[in-house]
Amino acid sequence: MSKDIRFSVNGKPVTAPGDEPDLPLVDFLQEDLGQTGTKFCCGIGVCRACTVAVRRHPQAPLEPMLSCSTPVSELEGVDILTVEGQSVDGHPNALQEALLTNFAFQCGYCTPGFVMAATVMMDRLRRSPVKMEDLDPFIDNWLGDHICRCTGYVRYYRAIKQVILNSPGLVA
Amino acid sequence: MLKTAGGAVALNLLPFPFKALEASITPAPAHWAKGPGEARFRIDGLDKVLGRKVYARDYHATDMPGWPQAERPVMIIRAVHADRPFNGLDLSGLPPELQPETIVTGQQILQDGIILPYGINYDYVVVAGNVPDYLGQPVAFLIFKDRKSYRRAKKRLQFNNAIQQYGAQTSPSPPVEYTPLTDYVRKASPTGGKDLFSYTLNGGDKDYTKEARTVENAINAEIANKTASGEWVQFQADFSMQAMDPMFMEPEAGIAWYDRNKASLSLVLGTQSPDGDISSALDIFSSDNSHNPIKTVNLTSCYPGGGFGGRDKSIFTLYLAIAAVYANGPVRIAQDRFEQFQAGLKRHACDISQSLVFDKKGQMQALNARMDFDGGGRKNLSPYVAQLAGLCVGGGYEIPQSVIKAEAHHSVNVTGGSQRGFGGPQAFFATETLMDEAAESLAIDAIELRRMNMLKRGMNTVVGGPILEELRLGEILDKAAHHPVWRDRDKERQKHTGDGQLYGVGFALSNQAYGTSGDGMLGYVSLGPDGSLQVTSNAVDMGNGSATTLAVVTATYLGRNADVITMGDAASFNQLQLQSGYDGANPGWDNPRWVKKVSGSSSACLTAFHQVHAIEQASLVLLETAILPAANALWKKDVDRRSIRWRNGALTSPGNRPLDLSEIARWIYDNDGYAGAMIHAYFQAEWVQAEYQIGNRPYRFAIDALGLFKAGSFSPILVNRQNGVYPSDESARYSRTTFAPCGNLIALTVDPSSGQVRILNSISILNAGRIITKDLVEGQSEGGIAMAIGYTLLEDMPPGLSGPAAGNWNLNRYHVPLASDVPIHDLNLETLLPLPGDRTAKGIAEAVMCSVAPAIANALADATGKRFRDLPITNAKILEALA
Ligand code: FES
Ligand code: FES
Repeated sequence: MSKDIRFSVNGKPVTAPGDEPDLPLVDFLQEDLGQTGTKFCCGIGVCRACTVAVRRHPQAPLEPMLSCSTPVSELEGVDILTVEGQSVDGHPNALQEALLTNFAFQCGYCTPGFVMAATVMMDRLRRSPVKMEDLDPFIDNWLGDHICRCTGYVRYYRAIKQVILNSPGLVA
Repeated sequence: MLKTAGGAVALNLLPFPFKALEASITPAPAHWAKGPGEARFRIDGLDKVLGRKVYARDYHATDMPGWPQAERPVMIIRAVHADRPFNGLDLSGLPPELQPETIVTGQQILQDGIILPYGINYDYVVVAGNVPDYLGQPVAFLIFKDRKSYRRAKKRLQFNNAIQQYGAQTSPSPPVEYTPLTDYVRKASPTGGKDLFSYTLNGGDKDYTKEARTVENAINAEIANKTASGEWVQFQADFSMQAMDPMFMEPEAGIAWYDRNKASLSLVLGTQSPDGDISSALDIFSSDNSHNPIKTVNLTSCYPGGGFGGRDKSIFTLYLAIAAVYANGPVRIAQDRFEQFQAGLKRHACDISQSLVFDKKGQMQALNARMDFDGGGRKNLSPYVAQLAGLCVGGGYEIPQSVIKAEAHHSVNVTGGSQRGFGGPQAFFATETLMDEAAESLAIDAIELRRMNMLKRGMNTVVGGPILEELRLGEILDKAAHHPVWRDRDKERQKHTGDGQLYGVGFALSNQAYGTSGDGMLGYVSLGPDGSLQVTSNAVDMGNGSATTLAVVTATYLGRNADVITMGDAASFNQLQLQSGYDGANPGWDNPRWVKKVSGSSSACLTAFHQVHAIEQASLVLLETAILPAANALWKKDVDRRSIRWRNGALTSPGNRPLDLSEIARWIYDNDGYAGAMIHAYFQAEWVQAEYQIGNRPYRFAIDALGLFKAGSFSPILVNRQNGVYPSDESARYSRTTFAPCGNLIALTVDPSSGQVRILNSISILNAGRIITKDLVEGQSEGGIAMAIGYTLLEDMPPGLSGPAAGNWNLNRYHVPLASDVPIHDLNLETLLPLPGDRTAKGIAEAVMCSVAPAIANALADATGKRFRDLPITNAKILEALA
């Protein structure tokens, strides 16, 4: 029997059974933990709907992770952040609020992926702000591969840019 | 046949909120509304942005109160040949612990008396020994005992075609047409456009088809003569369009449980057709020799993760139902993307052969179109898609003579369905690119040529149906003609001479219809003892914003947005005891419970006009029959109806103290007043109107069935309609009378060395009528343009085994637009201001994508000098054309 895999999800310790080491993280989250906020769409690492954030050690920057293509065996000791961990007492955070009030999404199925990718991106900006003129390409670099079938992306970009500009210190 | 809505579905009218149905019931989150009639964000948005359970894929048996906890995953094995007999499955490669608990075969389904309901004409599961009717037809359902064995077994079975055993290749089955076939022939007087012959006028004739051939021959003869003499000019072209995947992001998924003791089937899924799904699920188990009697179907309708027509009468629901009756407990089918590509409904591949005939001045004289839709393996809604394409191919033009034949046929390819635009995108692509060719050849400005021929109120469509509203095509054309992108296109082209890019601008116009040829709508508005409002609709919000829209339109008559919205609830409306269909002796409209059509599927274009009408009428009934009597009692006098206004949630009337809705509600609950109105409305060229005797006076509403709920009661008092004004028989043949015209300007560049297209600007000019929520309309337009860019330039799927039917397709080979493919900073929507006094809100979700493909193709022609008639217009095709 292989060893169980221990890591944390939104700060809470979890254990993935070692007998299914190739279990994709998205299945572990949805089926074993019942946390269905992280979405499954293509399952092959293209659409990015399943994006979560990972912090590999306490001081490390956040990194995006495709939960459909990451087996639990690779997660020993890391911190995973998902959309469920972004709200505060059931209230949307500033990013989520901006997505809401800009009517950024429609069906919303791609939204958790955008939320988590934008969260990682803002963590990077906090660590090293970009110049105003570099902001659009920076956003495109971080979000440009995310697929949304409903919206045409206009309002996602608008909302996310708005949050960045309203958060002190992200743009140099 | 006389049918009741939803058949024998048991009624569960539940006080809200009810845990089991929370997927479809949304209590309004705090701060979602700005004020009465206005949304700050989507009513369903908070749950979605926080990652709460709202989609069918989020649900497991353990989430459902009263269900057994163990859930059995199901894998559907699908045919990879349709030209040889399927002989069986070989699962010997699976170790014993991974073997399925149950294998459902085609033979077993037949033996157990599970029948094919109306419109489903091929076996659910291939019977061993038979040649599959199409690629991807199920050959077995494998039901596994638990998730772990399912996951492990699936790894070994998926993409492993060797497990399917086939006999020797045989000749393929002959093509079959899906009926009804569309045959629209129209001849109008050359001046004044009065129909001499048309489907509307003559479609009811016994020998319409024969008459139509005579008229067709006369039209063709006239075209031949006048083109030969040089009096008329004919432009002819052949177009082809690929199949397209709706690629909604949530692959179809659902859970089901068949409770044999209670003969009840519970389904949890995201569907656009909850009403149809319930009745189909009942029908298939209704034969006399059915081994699985079902008295009740409970459907929990979840917010779908996208729809676009791909969840409209999807066979997926019936697979889930069938799997459930064979399992020892709840089942779950959750398709992955490969499976969704292999089996999910597609936009039809289509071939169009078309000619437009003009006189030398540019006046349109005739249209001839043959449209052939690849319906794929199942009929679904294919012939009706072809039918609407038959109307759309006439564009926004008055054409005195037309011959239009549109049909969909069976093939071994993946089934085509009612994708966004419903045949419109294909038809407008052909007509609007051919219009441009004609303009160029006639040396008339492309926008001017359209103006010369545009449809106006009082004229008729190619079907012969009257235009009953102001389409305002002229205003759309004016705005396009004066737009800098059009006006300054040559100047802009100059700028690109230096950068090696080819610059072009294209325009196209669409006159897409919304709704169907007859729409039955349901709505229920109820007032709580605290003055809160609950809206219940059978409609489904696929992301198009219908939940939000229906929650704000209660404010029109009740001064307050809904506090709770329940979507996709088909069962509650059984309480209206509606009947539809004909049984020969049935008196039809004379029977107050009879309606022409109870309900249909949800499409995004049905919200603003149709569903909103239902909720506004229910609100109006409540105002008239409950709130005003209560207010009069509280004010102790009968106030003038015209003097009342809602202000800040209170009913006001000059000289009287404002009454908060909560105070009115309290009075109603204390005095046994009415607190709920459930209505049915029917639109066919106009809304049915009728009188309802309530208390001692008749009220007139634009509805055809009414149930009133006393405060605190869960069963309605049915009020019979009387003195109704009903649609004419002829109007059933108008095809459509509601239109959402849209023009599109596209500016783009082409890199001649790579064929790469960059869309620089997109300007949509839309007649949306009254706009209820601007952000929702804009969002639909933006999404429609992105989807149309994919359709025109990127998305391709070949038929047969080189396409998704093989089961190995995914997003690595099917390219939907990314943000970089869309001009996200230059996507503009201009809407026409509503005409004074016109409250019509139009369903625009389909209209907004119809003119985009031809506008892109016309811009490409402007840039390259080459015409592109085959979609998608890939870089390779452009390079080839430029070579
Ligand atoms: S589900 Fe598409 S990238 Fe993970
Ligand atoms: S909002 Fe539906 S996929 Fe993005």
